[in-house]
Amino acid sequence: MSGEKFSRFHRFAAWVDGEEWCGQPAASPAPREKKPRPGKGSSLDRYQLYRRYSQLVGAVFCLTLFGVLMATVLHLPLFGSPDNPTNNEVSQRYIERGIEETGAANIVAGMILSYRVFDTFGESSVLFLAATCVTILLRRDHNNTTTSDLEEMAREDRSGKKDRDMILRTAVLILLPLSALVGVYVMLFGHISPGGGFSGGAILGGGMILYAQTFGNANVRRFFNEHMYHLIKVVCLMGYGLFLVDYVMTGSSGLPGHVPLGIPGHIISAGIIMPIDLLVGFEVTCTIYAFYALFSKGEL
Amino acid sequence: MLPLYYHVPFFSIVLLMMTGILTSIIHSGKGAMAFHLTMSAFVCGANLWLLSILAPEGECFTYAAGILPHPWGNELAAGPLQAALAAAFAAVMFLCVLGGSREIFEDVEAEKQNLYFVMCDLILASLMAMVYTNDGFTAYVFIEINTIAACALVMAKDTGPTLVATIRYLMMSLLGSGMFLLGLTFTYYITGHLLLINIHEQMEQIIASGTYLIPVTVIMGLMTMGMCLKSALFPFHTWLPDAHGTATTSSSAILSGLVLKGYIVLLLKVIFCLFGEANYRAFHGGDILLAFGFAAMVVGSVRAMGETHIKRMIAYSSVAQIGYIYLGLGLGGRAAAAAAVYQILVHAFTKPLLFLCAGQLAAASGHRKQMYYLRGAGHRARLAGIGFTIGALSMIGLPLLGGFAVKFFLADAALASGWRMWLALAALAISSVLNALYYLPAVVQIWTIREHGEDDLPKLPRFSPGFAAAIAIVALAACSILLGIFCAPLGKLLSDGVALL
Repeated sequence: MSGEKFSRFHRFAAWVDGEEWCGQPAASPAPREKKPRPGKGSSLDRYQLYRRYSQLVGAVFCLTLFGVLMATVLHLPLFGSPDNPTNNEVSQRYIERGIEETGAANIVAGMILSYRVFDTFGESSVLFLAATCVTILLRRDHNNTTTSDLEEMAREDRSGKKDRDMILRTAVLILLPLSALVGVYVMLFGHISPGGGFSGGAILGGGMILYAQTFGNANVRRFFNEHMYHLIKVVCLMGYGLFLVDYVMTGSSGLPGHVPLGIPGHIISAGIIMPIDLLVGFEVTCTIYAFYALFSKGEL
Repeated sequence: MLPLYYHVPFFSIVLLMMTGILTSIIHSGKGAMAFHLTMSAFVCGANLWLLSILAPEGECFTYAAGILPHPWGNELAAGPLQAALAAAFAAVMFLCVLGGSREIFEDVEAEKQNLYFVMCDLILASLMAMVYTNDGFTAYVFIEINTIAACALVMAKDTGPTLVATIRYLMMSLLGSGMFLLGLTFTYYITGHLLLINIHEQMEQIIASGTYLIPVTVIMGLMTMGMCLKSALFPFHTWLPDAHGTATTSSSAILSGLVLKGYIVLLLKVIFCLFGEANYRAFHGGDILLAFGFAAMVVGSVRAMGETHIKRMIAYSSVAQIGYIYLGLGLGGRAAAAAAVYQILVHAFTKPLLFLCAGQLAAASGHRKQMYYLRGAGHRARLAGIGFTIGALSMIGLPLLGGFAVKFFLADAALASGWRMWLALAALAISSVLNALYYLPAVVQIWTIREHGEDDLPKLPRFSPGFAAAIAIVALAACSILLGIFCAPLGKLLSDGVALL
């Protein structure tokens, strides 16, 4: 009894010294040949225990969440019913006075880039943030790249230069101007017809990825290098930010905006919506291509 | 024309976001840091100015971030509580970055250092937005920004363990964001609004009429669980020790001092501005928070006792301290909520102090973070030792320090809450003893003089903290003490602020 107390005190003293925890058994060397019981002992056993139960726990969690959400959906108002709570003064004003107040024939563009332009600035920054995170993680540095990686990439580049598929190249040369045209059109007409900066930028960025896949990243670098990427990204986002500041400063004070609304339906109309669509579009183009380049090569 | 101070909330957010965007093209890490520090100091000053205007009269205002006010456009709302929180968050961010600057430049790749400060800028911007927003969807957008940037802060020290910790953190955090978004979607579907003021009006009617009771319960559950997941309330704390324990010093300090708090402030808004506190309590949301807060206070401390790695010990202590905040939210009523906000402030200043000092003590012991090697570290790094001691004593709850004020306010608020009083008082008593049980041995350990030849550790030289870190440690320690000494006026300010929410 006293011996046990003595050893407990020793263990407590050892814990104060930061050597071990008094709640754990003393670290006496366990005999090797004794097979530890599953679930206790080595970290490998704990890992197997985790493997066994994590899937079960995950399945139970997902099924419960699924059940709860389905039950909720059954108790929500019926989709599309005219007396739903969503059909209130908010949507009424957007629909009835949206064109007059925002100048945008596309009411969705009017909503996201005029009534809720502050949220959308946040969304554009999410994209910038995601690209920055990918850069932190994947841009080549001595920590995440070995010389064999570099050699392999150089070999791929060489072989890519030698045998380029003629059918692919011709097809891409035909498709590329079209995709650029559609991308710019979707951006420019975002306030008039379905589309806008995000979708137009995605089309344009897709075209750039296609070009890079066919002709190699080195060719893209002739007109779009890292320097260019930073320049476009910062100019676009800062431009958006300055439009936002001006719009909110005048709007919150009850003054008319500095950018005229124009005649709804014309290309030059809808106040800040059209320029912001273009800025967002070019930012999205850069970001989409940067994702591709960083994930595939680790550089722009 | 609006008075100039009406623009402070909007400009705090937008200026910091623009700072982040511009910082991405500043190539030198030092320049990026200087830019970040200047802007966060400026934002802190602006919010203090706003506080000095709003606090005397108890003034509140809403600010249309666009051409139309609620219910049509984005809106920000500011009062004394929001201004105080925003100023404190900016100050803590400034001190965290300043205090851990040396480690940032050691741990982060040279050509990626400027991107680290982009993340700091955006985290502060998103915190400002969470504090000031009056719009559910704006809150969600900035939750997203906060989530991604916080993961990047962990990831910036590019080693195996930090990458594993980042993945775990990202998964848990995204689950939390997803739950909040689902809750917000359902809310929009049954109320037709996204702005908190209008949702609140509709919610009152819905709950009074008794329709949609199941969706309302689920919304409450989803939003609360989402925010609890992201602020590491027990039992969702499993990601926290890895993320906070392995990251670089500044990141640990920012994550535990600020990022967790942003989500709790948002939950406070959800309870008070979205549902209304009485409604939230009618659905037993408060009791659930109380129970989990109690569990977190005990389990966090017990797990902290089992740690011999100093940063992981402090991280587990965060789990326990977060439990105090939830205890305050769960007790209900203005006084308890004010105590919870007080704990947000105290923890926001004290935990970065502990992390910064622990980083320095470890650096003074040959970059080893096991308690065993830290013996006598307080003599090698005096300032860090004193800072650590102040922080630890504040966490334990010694009078004249911030932690004591929180426990006092919580106990005071508990007296008016019926049977919950016993639970709260028991939690405070147990948790104080448990806190002492792991912080005091650590303090004794770092101040124990090591005789030469007593153990196998090599003799280590004196450690110089560096000018920037010294300023940060002194300022954080001073704030911890000031929060304890001036608890009466500050407590009244926060209590009035909570009443104005």
